[in-house]
Amino acid sequence: MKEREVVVIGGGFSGLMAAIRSARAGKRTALLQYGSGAFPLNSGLIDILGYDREKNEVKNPLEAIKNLPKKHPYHRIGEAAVRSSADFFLKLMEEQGFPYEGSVTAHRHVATAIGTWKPSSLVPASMDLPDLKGKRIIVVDVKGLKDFDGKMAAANLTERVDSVVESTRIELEPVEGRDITLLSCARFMENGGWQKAVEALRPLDAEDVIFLFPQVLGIQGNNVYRALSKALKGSVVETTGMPPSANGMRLRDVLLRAAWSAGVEIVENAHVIGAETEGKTCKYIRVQAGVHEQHYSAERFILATGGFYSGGLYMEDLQKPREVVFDLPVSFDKSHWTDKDFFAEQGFMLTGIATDESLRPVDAMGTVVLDNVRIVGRNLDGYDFCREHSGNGVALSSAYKAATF
Amino acid sequence: MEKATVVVVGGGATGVGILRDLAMRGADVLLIEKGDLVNGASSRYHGLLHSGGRYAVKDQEAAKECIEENTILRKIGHSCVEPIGGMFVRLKSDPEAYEADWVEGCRTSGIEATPLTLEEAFRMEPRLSKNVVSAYAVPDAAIDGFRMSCQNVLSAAKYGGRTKTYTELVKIYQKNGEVTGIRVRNTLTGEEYDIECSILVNAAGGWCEKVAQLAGLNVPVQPDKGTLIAFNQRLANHVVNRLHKSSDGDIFVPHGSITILGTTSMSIDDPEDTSTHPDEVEKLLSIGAETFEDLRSYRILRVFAGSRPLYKQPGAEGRGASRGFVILDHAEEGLAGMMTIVGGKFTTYRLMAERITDMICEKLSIHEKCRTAEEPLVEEVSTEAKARAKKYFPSFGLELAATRLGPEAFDRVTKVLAENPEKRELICECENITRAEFEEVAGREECHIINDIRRRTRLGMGTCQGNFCAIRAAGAFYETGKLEAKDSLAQLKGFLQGRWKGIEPILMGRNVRETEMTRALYELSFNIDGGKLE
Repeated sequence: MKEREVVVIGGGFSGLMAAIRSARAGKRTALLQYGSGAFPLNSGLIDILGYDREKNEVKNPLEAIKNLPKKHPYHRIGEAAVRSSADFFLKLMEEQGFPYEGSVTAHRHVATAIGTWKPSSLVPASMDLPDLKGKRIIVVDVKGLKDFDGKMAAANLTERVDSVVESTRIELEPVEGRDITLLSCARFMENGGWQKAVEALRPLDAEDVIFLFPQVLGIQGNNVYRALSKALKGSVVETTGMPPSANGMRLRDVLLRAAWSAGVEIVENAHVIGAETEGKTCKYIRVQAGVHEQHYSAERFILATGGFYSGGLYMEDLQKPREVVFDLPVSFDKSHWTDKDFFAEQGFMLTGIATDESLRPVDAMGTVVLDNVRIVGRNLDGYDFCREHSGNGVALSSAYKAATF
Repeated sequence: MEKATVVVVGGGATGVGILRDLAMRGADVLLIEKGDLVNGASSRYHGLLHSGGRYAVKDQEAAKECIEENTILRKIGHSCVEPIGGMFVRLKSDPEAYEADWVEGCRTSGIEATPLTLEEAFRMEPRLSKNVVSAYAVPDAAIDGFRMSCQNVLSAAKYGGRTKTYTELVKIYQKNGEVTGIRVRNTLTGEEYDIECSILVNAAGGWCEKVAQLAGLNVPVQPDKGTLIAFNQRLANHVVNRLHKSSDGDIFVPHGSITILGTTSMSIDDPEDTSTHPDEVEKLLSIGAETFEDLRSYRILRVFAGSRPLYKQPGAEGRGASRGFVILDHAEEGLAGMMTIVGGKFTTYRLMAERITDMICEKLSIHEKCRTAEEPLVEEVSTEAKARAKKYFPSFGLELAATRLGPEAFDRVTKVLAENPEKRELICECENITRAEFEEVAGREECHIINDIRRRTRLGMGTCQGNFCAIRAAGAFYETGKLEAKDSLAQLKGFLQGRWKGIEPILMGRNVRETEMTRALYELSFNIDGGKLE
């Protein structure tokens, strides 16, 4: 039996944040991860709340939380935790040399790969837009690059801003008939390729220019962003992109290092296959590590296994979704599982685990099921993070709260 | 004013068959279709080229027609038919008496039904239920309905046969008891205009009744909805039919890397209704699992439905109604020049076309004989052309592209790939569609929206169901200059919404995972509805 004070299950954004905070609070913490969470899909933007239920962009996310439906996890997490978790995150990122900008009471806007704007609260430096007034925006496409079309992005942005957005196409690597993914381009940029980009963009470079790049500015830290910003007179800005998301990978890398230095014990390839409970207490969890089964006990278990995408929830047939580690009750409305309109609020997105205000799992009657378990991130019930743009916000604030002692 | 001697209404298998036959015999013919080709029942079915075994007991005339047409279509539609063969299997629970009738029916209809030992049957189809008590091999095959219809149109074009998609019939002009012309509307732009014609052929399938009403005629058609499931695996290597009285959920047809199971039979009011319901899926799964017991362990790719246009005869509905076809010459009701063809099945589309074309030719005093049974729809891509192209195509993409494109377009695409390595980029990995092929197809006159390109290339119809290729397709289509910026995101949404339609009724298992990802990408990361910056 491995005895720890805190065991975090899941190495995605919420799991890593919970582990870092636990360790910093002096708890002996283990983080069990199996894969890399949803990071390859995660833009790395911290959206608190982008849209209200009528899909209008909210002005002040923290303020707008008040108007959310009763069941929304933000009401359980509380405004105070949302605010403090953002401060905690901004400070952490600053320390790690990967600064984020923004606040929970206003929106910044980032450009997306298809040429729309997206509101977000905390934004990495490389994606943060400067004031557009009097600026010439040029979308930078790369020859042979897949999953990004500079011309279409520029045309769509033009329709959504009061000026003409241009595009240019630079050649970095010879194409030679193979597909260049965003990630391989990002690697190339990191290994000196950024200098070729600077040369190619020199003729267009001026102080009033904003160069809008696909998400290719390196896969670790923000060295490529800093180097480009220094070498070019114009501003350098990245858009969101298709998975694997380079910025999601950078964020993961930074957080892993922060966890490491905070003293988190990171266990890789740890597949949690079940839990042993006694009354309302989880005694230990069972972990498949290679051919061996190991047991971890803890004073507190933080469940950060994610939703359907990450595998924390599973719907075998159309009868009843299952929570895979503790077999917790899943709050689920069978009559509203899907909506015919793909972009409407979807019942399967609202499906998850109901909790009390301490984020302990509860049953349909509201009674706590396990005292020493906390639920964080996507497997909380009551919010469609895609529609309202709140995924990383709920992940961050719930992780912060679950790791408060 | 635009003119055509004959106008054919409906771009399903029957309509394109008539278009080709008339064009080959030298008639001046135009086909109009209100959506894209085969947007009705001709693409919303099993994709089964019947051997006739299904009708051997109930309707031997239909069975005979099937086996004859089956033999013809294999010959003329080489790149549309997968000649995989089929099996009829009887389960313990199926009545034994039916088997003898069926064997006799096959014999008299001319269908070769070879008895298999159980050992042979299980070797051919290892996943078959052990409750199978007898099995026969029959010459069933899989057929790509969309490709076959497209190739009919291409072949017709060589003989001057014209086609207008997204063109809806809104009015039929008549004078002194004769058809004189029609009014049509471009469904994309709303523009209306007249076309002069002397013969109007109503081949609108489920919409035949509505078309006839425009001329004040009554053609009672009962749309009969069939729901089908596409699995993401090849569950069987042959078409597998239950050897019993035709019923729901008793045919499996493998196509490429998927398998289609169907179907149900339900009378509906509106042929546009292609909705599906989880209960229908459950029904199909529970019946299907009698033949393949591990059926539920396979991922369902999507669910879809189409409606059979059954000609209404009093007292016969659903499976009781005839699958045969009917030709009506409305001259008998006082409107010369108007004809309707309704009913039938995909397998016999060519024969149906031949019959009605004979009648039309008689009216037009055309004496040419029908040649649609002899002349191949398109020529095949030569072995030499494939050998030359091999190094430019992704691994298994060569054969796929060759069958999709046909010789001329294949050569053009090969040339682009050879000269411009950038065009070798894969827009759709599941179906191995290169940017060069995408551009070749997108550039065609009949491609207006991303979904038109999908039907002609199979873009987005594979494992990822459009998740990864949707954004690329929108970008690549925009680059061709045929898509305006303001429409690009609306089309992207439309494409994703179309994929969702087939997934929504079966959102379970791995599909929930896929869907959560698709929404996280397009709604969250790309903020597809994102408006103006203030």
